[in-house]
Amino acid sequence: MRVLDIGVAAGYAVLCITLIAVLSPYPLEGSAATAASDARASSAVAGYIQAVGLQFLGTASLSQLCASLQASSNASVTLGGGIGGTTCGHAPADYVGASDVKFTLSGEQVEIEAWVAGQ
Amino acid sequence: MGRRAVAATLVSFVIFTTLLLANAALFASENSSLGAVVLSAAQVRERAFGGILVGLSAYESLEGAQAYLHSNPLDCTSPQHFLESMVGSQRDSGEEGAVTYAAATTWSYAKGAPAADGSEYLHEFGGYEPGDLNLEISTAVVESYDGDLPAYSFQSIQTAHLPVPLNSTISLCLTALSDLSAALSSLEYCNSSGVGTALAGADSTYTNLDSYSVGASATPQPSGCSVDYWVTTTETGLEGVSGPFQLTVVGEGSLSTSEPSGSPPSSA
Repeated sequence: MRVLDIGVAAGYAVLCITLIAVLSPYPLEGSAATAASDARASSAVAGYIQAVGLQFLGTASLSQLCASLQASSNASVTLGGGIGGTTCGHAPADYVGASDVKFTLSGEQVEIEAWVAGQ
Repeated sequence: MGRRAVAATLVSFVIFTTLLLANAALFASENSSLGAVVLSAAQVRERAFGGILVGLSAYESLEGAQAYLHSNPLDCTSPQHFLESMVGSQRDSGEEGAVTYAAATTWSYAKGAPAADGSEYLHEFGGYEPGDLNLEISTAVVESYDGDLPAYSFQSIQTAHLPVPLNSTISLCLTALSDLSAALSSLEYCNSSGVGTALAGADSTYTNLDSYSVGASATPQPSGCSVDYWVTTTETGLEGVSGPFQLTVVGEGSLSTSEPSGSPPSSA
């Protein structure tokens, strides 16, 4: 009887601990943070394009674009991109969100990327 | 001893059940919160990309107008017809990141200041500018996230302009035609010599244009002299959205003089 009692109690405890581990809310917090950071990165991309104007992106050389991207980056958002497949700017080692947009201007493919740094 | 064991088992049941329920409640709450955050993030991405799509449609519309102006001479005697035929449309669709999109754009010459905003993505080419060549651009955007919700669709009407001094260029062309008409209306001879003399005397008030040329031909008629004349002006280096372009403005007219005073040794 005692063995049965201990067995049922232990089995129930294992089941509960397993369920608690499976239904852990911590991975969800991480996913939410990533989604929010991705959205912040896409806003940064749109904000940069709006700030420099499409005519700049359509006529700038790669070096001009790279200088502009670097000047617009800050501690929390790093910008990168390129023209015609040649890119500049690198993702920071520890970033939590990213976004990139590619489009064609005057026959050249332009790419703008943004990475949001981790806290 | 047996009762104690049962009591301990029951207590552990209660404790673990409480822990399990508390964790499940927290999980459900976080899951709901995640859904809201993901939905909100998707909406932010769609909105941000939608703005870029509208900017791109304005850019492409200005490029289209620029190409049209570059390759088609504007007749200054009927500019309205030329400007009204300057229309275009384009469609674009694809997937960018997880955003699936379709954008349909139509553009046309804007006669007057329309009740529309300037494009935020075009800076000096955005908005309505009196005296310049203005376009009204209508863009319909439909977006979805991974082909699913949230869906986002909107219609945007915006204005943009090319810095072409349209009114002054047309006015100068018409002035030149008027000057030619006045000079050629009293030809001394209905021939190349008479036309040359008249052209030399025409007052060219459009010297601020990059290049211009005028010409005329005279044909003797039984009752007098028929004269055809024309003017062509080209403005180069106009700053367009994708680089410089040129605009050619042409005008032509004809007149008949009843009694040329000299006899025509040859016709021009």
